[in-house]
Amino acid sequence: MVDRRLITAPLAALILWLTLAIGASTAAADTPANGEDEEPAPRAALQERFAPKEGRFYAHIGGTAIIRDDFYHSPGYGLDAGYYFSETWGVELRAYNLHSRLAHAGERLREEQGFVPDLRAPDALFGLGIRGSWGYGKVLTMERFVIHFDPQWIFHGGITLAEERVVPTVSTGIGFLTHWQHGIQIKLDLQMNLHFENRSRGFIPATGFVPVLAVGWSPMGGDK
Amino acid sequence: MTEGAFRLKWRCTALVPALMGLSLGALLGACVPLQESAPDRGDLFAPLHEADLSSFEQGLTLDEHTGRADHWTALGRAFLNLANCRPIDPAPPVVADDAVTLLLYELVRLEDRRRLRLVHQSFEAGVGAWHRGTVHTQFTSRTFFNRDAAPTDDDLIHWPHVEPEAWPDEWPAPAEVEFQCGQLMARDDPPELDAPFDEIDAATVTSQLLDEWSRAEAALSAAKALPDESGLRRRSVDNLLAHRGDLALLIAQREDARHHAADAIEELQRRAMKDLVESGVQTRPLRIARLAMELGEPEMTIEALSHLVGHEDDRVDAVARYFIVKTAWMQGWWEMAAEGGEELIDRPASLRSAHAYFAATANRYAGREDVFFAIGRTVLRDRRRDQGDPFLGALYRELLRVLASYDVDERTDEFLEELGPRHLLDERKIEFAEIALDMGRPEVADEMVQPILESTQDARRLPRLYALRALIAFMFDDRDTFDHYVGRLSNRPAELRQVIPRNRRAAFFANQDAELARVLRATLPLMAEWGDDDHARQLRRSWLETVVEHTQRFLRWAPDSVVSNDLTELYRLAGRLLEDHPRGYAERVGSTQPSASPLVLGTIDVPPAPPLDEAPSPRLRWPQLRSLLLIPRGGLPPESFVDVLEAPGPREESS
Repeated sequence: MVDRRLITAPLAALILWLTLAIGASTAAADTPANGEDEEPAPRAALQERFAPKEGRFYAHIGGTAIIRDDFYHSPGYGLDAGYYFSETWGVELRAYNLHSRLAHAGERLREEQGFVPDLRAPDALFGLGIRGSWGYGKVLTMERFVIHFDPQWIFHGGITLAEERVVPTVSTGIGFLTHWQHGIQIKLDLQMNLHFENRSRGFIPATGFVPVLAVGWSPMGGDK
Repeated sequence: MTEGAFRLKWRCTALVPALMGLSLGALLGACVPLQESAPDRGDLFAPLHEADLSSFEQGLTLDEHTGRADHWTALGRAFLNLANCRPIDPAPPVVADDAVTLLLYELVRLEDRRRLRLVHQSFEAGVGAWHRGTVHTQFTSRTFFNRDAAPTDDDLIHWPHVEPEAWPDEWPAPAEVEFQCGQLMARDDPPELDAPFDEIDAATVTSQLLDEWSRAEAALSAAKALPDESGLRRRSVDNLLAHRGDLALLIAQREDARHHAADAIEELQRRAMKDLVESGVQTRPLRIARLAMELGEPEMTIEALSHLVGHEDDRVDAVARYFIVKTAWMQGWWEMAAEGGEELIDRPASLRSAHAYFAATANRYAGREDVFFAIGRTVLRDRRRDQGDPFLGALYRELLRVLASYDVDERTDEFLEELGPRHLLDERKIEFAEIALDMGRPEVADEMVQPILESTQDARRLPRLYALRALIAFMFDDRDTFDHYVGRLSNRPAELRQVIPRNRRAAFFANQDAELARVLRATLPLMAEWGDDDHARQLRRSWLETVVEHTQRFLRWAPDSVVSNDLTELYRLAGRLLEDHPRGYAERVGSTQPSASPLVLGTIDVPPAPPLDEAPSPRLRWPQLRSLLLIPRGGLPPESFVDVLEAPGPREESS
């Protein structure tokens, strides 16, 4: 059982850090350097992509969770596999197995009142999506290692299997695909999930937060 | 919890950390170290040959960024600054022991100085197109080079700005190379160069020329120090020698320089010429010839120009042949001048007649009169002499003078026919007769004049013919004929006097009277040449009396004649020569001079002077030295370096 506050708090810190880091780097670029009066004129620079993605397949194994305010905890694990048509666009198939269980509040409600939530616990998540890389970044760590990453925009459409129900689902969000040596990739997706359940009173939308942390490999990439 | 479940739980709980540890270890092993990365630069000068200045600049910057800059980089930077009209460092930042690159660097600087001087000269002279025919149609052109930032591979990451910290895995991107030569050529804005345009004066240009000379000297010394077998040596020395020759001539044209240092300038010219000659007269004959002319070296002039005979440019060939003949003629080298005139110049027309004159007369002085006549016939055949062409006239007179020394036969008429249009043949015969008389050949003149006199229908010609016949008769001592024709000249028919108003008679008879005066005046010096023996004195007295009689009679008949003053003076002169001629009252009473006989010595033969003052002096012109540069080509030996770039192909539209 994982308290969602333990996830959302670091997540919020991560988002805050990223925002500040991007803002700081932009501010640094605008701030004139101190010291010499005669600075060489700013000049663009080129760099080879550490791990080109175009024309390559990949596969990631990761963990996820659907975080919704519906009395269920739904952690899971699964597989993402995809192909990049270009450095910007790729398609992805997603298949995740979820182990949903009632949260502490739901459990107490069931034990004390005998009520169970109207929503069905999700058991699996399947989707087909696109990933769009809208930039390239790199971070110097420990003054000797570089983490190369692609900030991405993600969209998936598919289904969620919730007990005997098949629920249409869409999810969108941002992701950070990092590149390591030997073709290894680690990604962190932060998506918002929306699915529609058909209940007695009609189709009811439900939203959730779906983080994914995955590690994978893309052939012929990353080796230097 | 059962034992099995415990073991399973233990294994699971132990497995997860183990897996996490393993993963962490794998992750640390997969960390990407910070590494240097930069593309292979390839041939540094290849983009320059492709007229891609942006890529060329990127290559230079890449060298400097990666710490691989060497003397070739410094040379490349000099070429870039030349193309951008930026100052070039006096010495390359990276100096090597390589004499070749040092020389190439110095040549770039020299070309930069030459450009500045050419611009200033054009501004001073008020003419444009200073760069035509030089490498600056490329290096100072707004359009020759591609200056737009070269496109980059889409797979590369393009960072818009390089932060103060430089990442070793990044390298400078191609940048737009701004055309900065506008100030050099702008005539309104002063350039950031030696002197603003509004301060350019003759002294500025002269000092630039002298500065350029000293730099060329230094570069020449460096070039000569290269190994003999180096083709680079030969080409650079050749170009520098030609450049020095041009500079010497330009400096010599500067009035301020001549005023202050004429001797020094002559020394410059001599050195330039000497060096050019040592490198081979055939390599730069035009420059050598021009320098030799300036220095008054006729032998060197002719030797240099002889290499230009047969040049593919007809004008150069014609000018060379003309100057060879003229120079030899002026030195009295008749054989050489005659040899140079074997083939006449047809074009340009401005040189044709002068060349023919020099060639023909040289043949005559060399004793080849047949060639002399042949040239005359060729040049004058069926051609009306242009009164404004002094050389044709001089040649014509010379031909008639020589012809008059021969007796008249059927070839004389044929020759005279060929010396101009047929309808002017009689005119030529009359001119020939006059020249023959001047040369003391009355028999030749008589053979020409008598047939014309008998056949002419043009009364306007008669006075001149009568005068000629009178003079011929005088020289033959034929008094009756002389009296007859002088009488014809001085005759005032009563019928004409009646119809012509008195105040118009002088003008009406002017031509006739002038011929009469010419005849009578000509007799005195001719008489003086008869000598002083008794026979001559007797003859002279007899003719003087005739002349005096005719003059006196005419003055009485036609006191209002236009030549009355001349004939009055002639009458008095002739009277004094006659010892017993009665003096007029005015002479006896009014004369303030003691009575003395005038002294008439005779005729003076003044051969017609060659019209040398009007001899054309075409300028020896040659194109500007195209380039002092030697641009390296990667992978090729220095002998393959080029002095200009090949023109680029069609440039693609930049995206």
